[in-house]
Amino acid sequence: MLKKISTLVIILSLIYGCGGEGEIQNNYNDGFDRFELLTNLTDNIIIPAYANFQLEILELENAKENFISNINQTSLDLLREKWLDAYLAWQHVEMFDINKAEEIDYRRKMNAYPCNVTRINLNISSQEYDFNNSNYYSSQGFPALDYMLNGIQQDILEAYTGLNGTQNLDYLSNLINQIVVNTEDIINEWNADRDIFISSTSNTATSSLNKITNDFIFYYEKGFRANKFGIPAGVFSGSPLPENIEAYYHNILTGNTSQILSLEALQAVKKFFSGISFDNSYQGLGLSDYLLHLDALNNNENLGDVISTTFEQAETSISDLDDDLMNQINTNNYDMLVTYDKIQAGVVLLKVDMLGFLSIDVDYLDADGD
Amino acid sequence: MKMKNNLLLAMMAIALVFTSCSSDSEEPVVVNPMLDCNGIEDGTSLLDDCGDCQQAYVYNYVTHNVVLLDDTLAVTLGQNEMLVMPTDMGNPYWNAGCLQTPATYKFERDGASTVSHGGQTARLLMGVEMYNALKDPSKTESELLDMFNDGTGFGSVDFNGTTIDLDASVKKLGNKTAAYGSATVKPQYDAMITEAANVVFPAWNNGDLAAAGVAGEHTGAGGRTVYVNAKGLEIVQGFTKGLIGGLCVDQIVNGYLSTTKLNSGGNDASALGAGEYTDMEHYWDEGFGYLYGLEADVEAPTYSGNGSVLLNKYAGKVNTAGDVNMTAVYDAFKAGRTAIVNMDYTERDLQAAIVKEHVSKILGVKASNYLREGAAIILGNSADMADFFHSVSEGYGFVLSLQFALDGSGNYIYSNTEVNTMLDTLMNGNGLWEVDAATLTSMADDIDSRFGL
Repeated sequence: MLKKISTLVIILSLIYGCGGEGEIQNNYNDGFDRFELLTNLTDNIIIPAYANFQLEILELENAKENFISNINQTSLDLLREKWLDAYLAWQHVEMFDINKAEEIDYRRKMNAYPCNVTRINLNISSQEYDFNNSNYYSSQGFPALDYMLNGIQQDILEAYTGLNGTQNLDYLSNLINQIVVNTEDIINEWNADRDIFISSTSNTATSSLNKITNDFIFYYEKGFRANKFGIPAGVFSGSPLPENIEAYYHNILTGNTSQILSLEALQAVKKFFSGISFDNSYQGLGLSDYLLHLDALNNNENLGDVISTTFEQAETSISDLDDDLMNQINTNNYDMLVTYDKIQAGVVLLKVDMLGFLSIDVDYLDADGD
Repeated sequence: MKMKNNLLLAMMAIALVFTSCSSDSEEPVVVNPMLDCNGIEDGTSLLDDCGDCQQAYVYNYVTHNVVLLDDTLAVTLGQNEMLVMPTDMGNPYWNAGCLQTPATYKFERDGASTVSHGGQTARLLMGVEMYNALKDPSKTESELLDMFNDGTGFGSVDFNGTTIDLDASVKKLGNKTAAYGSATVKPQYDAMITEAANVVFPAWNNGDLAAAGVAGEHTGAGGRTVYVNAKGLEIVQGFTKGLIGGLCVDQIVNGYLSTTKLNSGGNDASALGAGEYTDMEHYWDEGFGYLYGLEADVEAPTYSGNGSVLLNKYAGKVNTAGDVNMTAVYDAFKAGRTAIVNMDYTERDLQAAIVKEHVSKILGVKASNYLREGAAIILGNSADMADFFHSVSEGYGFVLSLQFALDGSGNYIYSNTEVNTMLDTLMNGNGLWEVDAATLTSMADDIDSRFGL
């Protein structure tokens, strides 16, 4: 009896003495619970987003096996559908370019577009390629699958039943296997290192929040703003490059894939910023709460609210575009550029204002250097 | 007995928990006592503006003897002695190791210059060539766009007696034009090039005379000949004056001298050798280069160097007219660069703000000047329309430039939307063929009031 009580006392004293207000767990002393923020981001957003992504790519893998054993329009349609589902799920994890993902260049392997068609065709004919070599990043991942499933030739089925059918099928299969393998590595690491990640609460260049926040902003600036809108609209070149939109080939078939993917990506951005769980069931601490805690203002308005409003304006602007972004660029690129401006407004607020209040240094270089 | 043991165990465990908790929370205090820059716990030494550790000292004002102190605790002063704290007014050692602002923009490391802005010089030379090409009706649209966006088709030019192969410089104008504002602006420059090549040049080659709604050539009574589009705009002027804001001012005030850009560059010079520079120093010099990059000698700016057609030339004009004090700008560039060497970023940003405000003002002054000049011409008897088109076309370019200007607090003075409204007003209907003096004057008045002119 007494033993039980004493055990209870020990547990109580542990909880009471060390767990109070989470102060012990936070090594950065601005009164905000970085530990809880990291816990929410990790347990309710990052890990569930990866778990969902893994489910989708397993379905993609199954659809591929099904396609290999029955090559027909139905199995192709199913494979395309699973590819798009996985691509949508991907939009929720691309921003987490950290640790294992960063180490293996996951983001570049998964979503470098436009894909290099010449390289893909050489890979198929030579059957000599190394997906871990950076020369082959643009011939794998979702963009390469887009080409294989939607653009390889006029009659897609013919590509897998005709003269080069076996080689094409082999390459298609390897592309998907590579995605599965890379993703498993990353998910295993997240599961193993979750505790280490969320307990790194200091404010140094290598602390978890500093790194993941930088990754978030980098994604918003590069993966979202530049890749999905800026580059196709010609912001970084002399003239527009409409063929550089995301999911170019599938977009030709549907007339809306690129826009749908971009809107999904913006949902991921909004959730991460506001700490909304991946499944939308729960709102925990996000960067917006951190800004609220710091009383961060922008023209006398709460900075977090200003940033959220900017995301909403960007979303409206994207939705108001032609569903076919390539058509939008070709017929009225001005509106595409206006949308880009709305997204860009968020970059300044996140990178300059927010990081200033959070006392987090930018850890990546602008791509516009001389 | 057994019960006793359990009780003891519980008590020990609780004690352990408390001990470990309290030692956890106090740990930082024990391990990291507050050391001053001299390594003394709670000492009185302080780092000065350029990172030198300054100790308090006892000074004998008769013998001039100095005794440095680790701590002022329990110091007793003898006859003729005084205590000098690091930050005391008149402490000659405070900031004595800091670089003093030099007389000219000359910065060296181990005897070799650390000032480099070759990329800016190349772009400003490209600006001159672009200006010439827009006055050469044999040029095609693709040739002009390749020059602007790909940095090719320039060939070699002479600069200060040196031949520079601009095509080989790998620099481009297009990717640095309107780089920080709305993404809708850069295509406006491309569109001007396209219209010059596809509308104005064919009319020019054909000898068409300009009229309301008709592109072509117009020679005024004073003898000036201009080549304008159907709305009377001399595109080469609109484009070039637009580059003054969209390229030079934007790159200086919103780019290189912005806190964001400067802070993104490292500034650790400890391992640098002769003539090597930090990223932050270089960013500042690149900003400097967009204003002074064509000067024959940046240590003695003349504001008319090497055929400059961009910011440098108009800086000279406003300086001579007494509208903007360019000595203040040059001094701020020097002082800010010095502050970077001294790692004094507050001072750096203070000087950057001076540069930004003054450089921006050049745009306001010239936009206003040219619009008023145009108004004066059409209010006079027998207006010379060639002079009018020329002046207002320059004004058009400067108005386009206004969206890049910042005020003293770092805020934009005109938004992109406001600038577009002004440009639309100038181009309304038949454009400069029908804009009236009152419109031009009221636009100039608004510019004057916003810039505090």
